[in-house]
Amino acid sequence: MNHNPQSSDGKQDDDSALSDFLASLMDYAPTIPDELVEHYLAKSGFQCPDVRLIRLVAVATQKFVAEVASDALQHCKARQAAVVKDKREKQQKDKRLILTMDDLSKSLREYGVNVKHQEYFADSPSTGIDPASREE
Amino acid sequence: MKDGGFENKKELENSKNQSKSSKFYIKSDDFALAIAKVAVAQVCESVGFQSFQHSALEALSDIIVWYIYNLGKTSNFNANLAGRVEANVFDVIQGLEELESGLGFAGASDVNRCVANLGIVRDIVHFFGDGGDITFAYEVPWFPVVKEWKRIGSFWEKGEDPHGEHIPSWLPAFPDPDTYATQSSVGNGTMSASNEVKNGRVERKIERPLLNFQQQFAHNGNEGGSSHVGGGKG
Repeated sequence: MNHNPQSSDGKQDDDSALSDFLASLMDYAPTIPDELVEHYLAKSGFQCPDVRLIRLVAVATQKFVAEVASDALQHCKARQAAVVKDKREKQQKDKRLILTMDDLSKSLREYGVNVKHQEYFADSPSTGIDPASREE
Repeated sequence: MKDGGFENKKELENSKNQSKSSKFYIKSDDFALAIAKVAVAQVCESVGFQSFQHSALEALSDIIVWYIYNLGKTSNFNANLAGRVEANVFDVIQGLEELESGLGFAGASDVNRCVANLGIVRDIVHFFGDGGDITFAYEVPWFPVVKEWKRIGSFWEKGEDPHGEHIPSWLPAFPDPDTYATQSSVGNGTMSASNEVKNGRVERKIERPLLNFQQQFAHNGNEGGSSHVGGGKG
């Protein structure tokens, strides 16, 4: 990182904050392993011998996953709350929080990722057509 | 985390059979994708989910892989734009800016900003500070593993004489004659049963070393081809 001798105190604080953060990354490993991140970064042509940058990418990715997952969790809880209002007895059963494609696609839409899950898969093009027209 | 997406046992068995048959369709990325799935599942568990649908987990891990790949591509592009081969932290931060630009972030409109004071970096710092330390569940070896290239050896190395003056001695040596010997032993209708059996056995005896040679050649050839995947690490 560049250390400009004429920089103001604010900039020096920012630089030191960033370098402190990068140093702290080395103490606590993020959940996404370094090997996985390095594999995909190497595939994309990213070259850097500094492990701290790998950790930075891993932490950024983990943050992204956490945000998407927490948004999906909000959708899931909102859906369960709407259902539970009517059926109090089934409340105990519905306590399990499941990550579904529905909630995931809703939360990903806000991040600009369009994920649509197939409703069903048909065996052949004529599935679901009236038997009379199918014979034709 | 338990799988809560299946309604009955039959569906579960069907899906297992399906995954067994898809084993033959092996993508080169399967190992990395499996690791990504475990990592994503761990993060989802820490957020509060108790189970997941398989399709949802696969979709999310695909997106994560795409995210890492895209971040690397953008950072590399920024570094090249600045006339560098190796990326530095500012390239990565700019790459993060581009990926999150749909949502917006604090400090983007400020012309005199220091990139280290951006909302993105602060968000990451806060996230890292708040979140608990979740270590990955498995020990991950370094991959892809690059096998050693088993060289066949040149004429000169083997101490053999090339079969003619037109063949230089630094070329790889020919394989042993046993591996490519062809005995004409095609059975036709006029031959007796015992002869056919004998010829069949001889054919099989010849075919086995030929098969081994072909396998060895393909094996060595694949090693040479696959080494480029791990060639990024110098």
